[in-house]
Amino acid sequence: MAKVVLALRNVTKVYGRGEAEVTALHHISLAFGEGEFAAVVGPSGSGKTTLLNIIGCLDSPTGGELVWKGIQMKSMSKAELAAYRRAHVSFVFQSYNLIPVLTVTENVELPLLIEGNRNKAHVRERAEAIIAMVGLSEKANRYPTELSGGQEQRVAIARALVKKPSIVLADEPTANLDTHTAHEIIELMNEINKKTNTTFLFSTHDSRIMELAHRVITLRDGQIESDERHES
Amino acid sequence: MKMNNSMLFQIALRNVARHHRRTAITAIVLMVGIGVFIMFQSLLAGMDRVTIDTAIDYDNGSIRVRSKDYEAHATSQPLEYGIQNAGGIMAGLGALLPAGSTWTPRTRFYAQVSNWRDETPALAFVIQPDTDQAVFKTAEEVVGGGWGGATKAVIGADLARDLRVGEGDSIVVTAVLPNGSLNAIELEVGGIADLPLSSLSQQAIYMTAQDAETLVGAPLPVTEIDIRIPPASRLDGLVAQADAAASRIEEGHGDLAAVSIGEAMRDYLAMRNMKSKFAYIIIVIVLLISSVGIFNTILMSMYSRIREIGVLAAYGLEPAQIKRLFSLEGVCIGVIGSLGGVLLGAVFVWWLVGHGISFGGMFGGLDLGNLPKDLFIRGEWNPATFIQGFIFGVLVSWLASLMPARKASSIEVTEALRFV
Repeated sequence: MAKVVLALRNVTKVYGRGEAEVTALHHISLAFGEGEFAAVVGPSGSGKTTLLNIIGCLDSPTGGELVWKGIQMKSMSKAELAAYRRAHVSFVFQSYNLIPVLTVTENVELPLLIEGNRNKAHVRERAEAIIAMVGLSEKANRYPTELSGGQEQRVAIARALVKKPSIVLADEPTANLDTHTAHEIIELMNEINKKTNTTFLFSTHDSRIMELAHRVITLRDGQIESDERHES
Repeated sequence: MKMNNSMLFQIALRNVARHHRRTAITAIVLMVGIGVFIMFQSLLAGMDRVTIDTAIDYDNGSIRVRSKDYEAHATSQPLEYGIQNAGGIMAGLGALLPAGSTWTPRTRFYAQVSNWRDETPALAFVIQPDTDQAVFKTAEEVVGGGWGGATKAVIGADLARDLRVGEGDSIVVTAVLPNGSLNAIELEVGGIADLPLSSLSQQAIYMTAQDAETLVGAPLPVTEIDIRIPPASRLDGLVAQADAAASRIEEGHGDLAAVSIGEAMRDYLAMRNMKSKFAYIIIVIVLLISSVGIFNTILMSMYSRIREIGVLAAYGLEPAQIKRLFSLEGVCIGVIGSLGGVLLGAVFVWWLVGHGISFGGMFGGLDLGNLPKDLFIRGEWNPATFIQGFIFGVLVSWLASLMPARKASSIEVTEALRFV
């Protein structure tokens, strides 16, 4: 495997207390290398979103540890976690979650601005290049409400890639799209993965889409049922 | 390095514009509140102006100079404490006063006036008709007859009504002399002055020095020199100018007490500050109502954008920046509402300055103290009120947005992203 970007060691996540206690993840140990294109699959409630949240430093594990490029994330404050996300992680969401009052270009620029990049020309140049990569140059000045679902998700992918993250986490990125568009989106992610060597980890229910992944991790009841690698 | 504020401001501004109906409703409440505050303050300033101007025009002048002894016994208006060498003092006043100032001597004493059947107390003024007109506007209010003729007195309209006398009728004026003896003189009612101050209209009788000498049997001392300094555009400026001139007179003449209009109206001006505070209570109430609106607007904005908050936080925007984003929205609404309020206030004040409001009929024949009987108030422009209104509006909006902004910043990212 290529150089390890992140590793989960014996990670457990428990929600609630007493009778309401639910264990979402049971002793999960995984490692992801640079440039991986992996899918997390499993039925609803299997722990896919929880796993992505923990990997994305949006949530902290109840037990075990998360190691990002050799740095242990266990004892970080909220602000430190936010700083880490700013620098290394990007997200693609099922509902795209673009900022409705910003244009396509402005939405894509946002992560760079959140990062604190003040070179406006560089930010604009970078955003335009990524928008071109996802094939939306003509829509650069449109607002999200003027785009189709597939186009919105392309913008979300561009937004995720603009800051050159170590990993892109995509939680059910195709769930709101028709089969054809969903396929297009996963192919686009795959293509970008090959071009930029960015690590992609996405969750999905769709068996046709998981076929495109190089690695498929199957979760059931918060435990790893299988972890299979395919030839790309 | 963290995100700079310009992007946060851009998002806030666009959200405010996007929900324009919500923004407009909230801003209108704020706008009306600030507009009413500015109008109220303008009316109060106009009332101050008319009150002080009336006192200057008919009673005090801008500065009233008396001997210190007279001032100490002023309630009994004693004739024995007149100003020594009044002529010499008046000759030197020009050097102590602003250019364009005018002055006149007056003798003020208590008297009794009778129509041969009924008698009533009165306040007698011995005047020099020419110079008096340069300081006071009393002569302009003579509605029947003339001003300052020999053996003719001008009396207040209410006094004439009480005594049931008119122009050409005969009256008897009685005065107690400094030696305790009582003297009387018969005068003709030469004119009736409809004076705006009830106290003067009910009591004042104006006579020449010649008639007063006949009444007393000797030349009367000048008990006061009344001075008018040129009007200033702002009331505070006028009061300050009068205070400064009064100080110079007292410094130049150790035996004189120079009372400026600000000092003479000290009680009124203290009350004016109270009225002004009342106006602040009004704006506080209106702004509290507005703040509930702004609080709701920001809260609604927050709930409608929870997933957006989640995305921003997921991308590393810190809670403090999320809080700033929402409080900026509050400030934007505040700025819009406050600017509207300032504009609305300007329209109100413009109308009040141009047209004014008559309160004359509102109080009937009631004695309004320092206020003129036919109270007619014009607004006054006061830039400080506009600035205050604007700052209050923005400040309250910002404060009202803090709590929902704090709530937005404390939402857990995972919960925000799950929010439907």
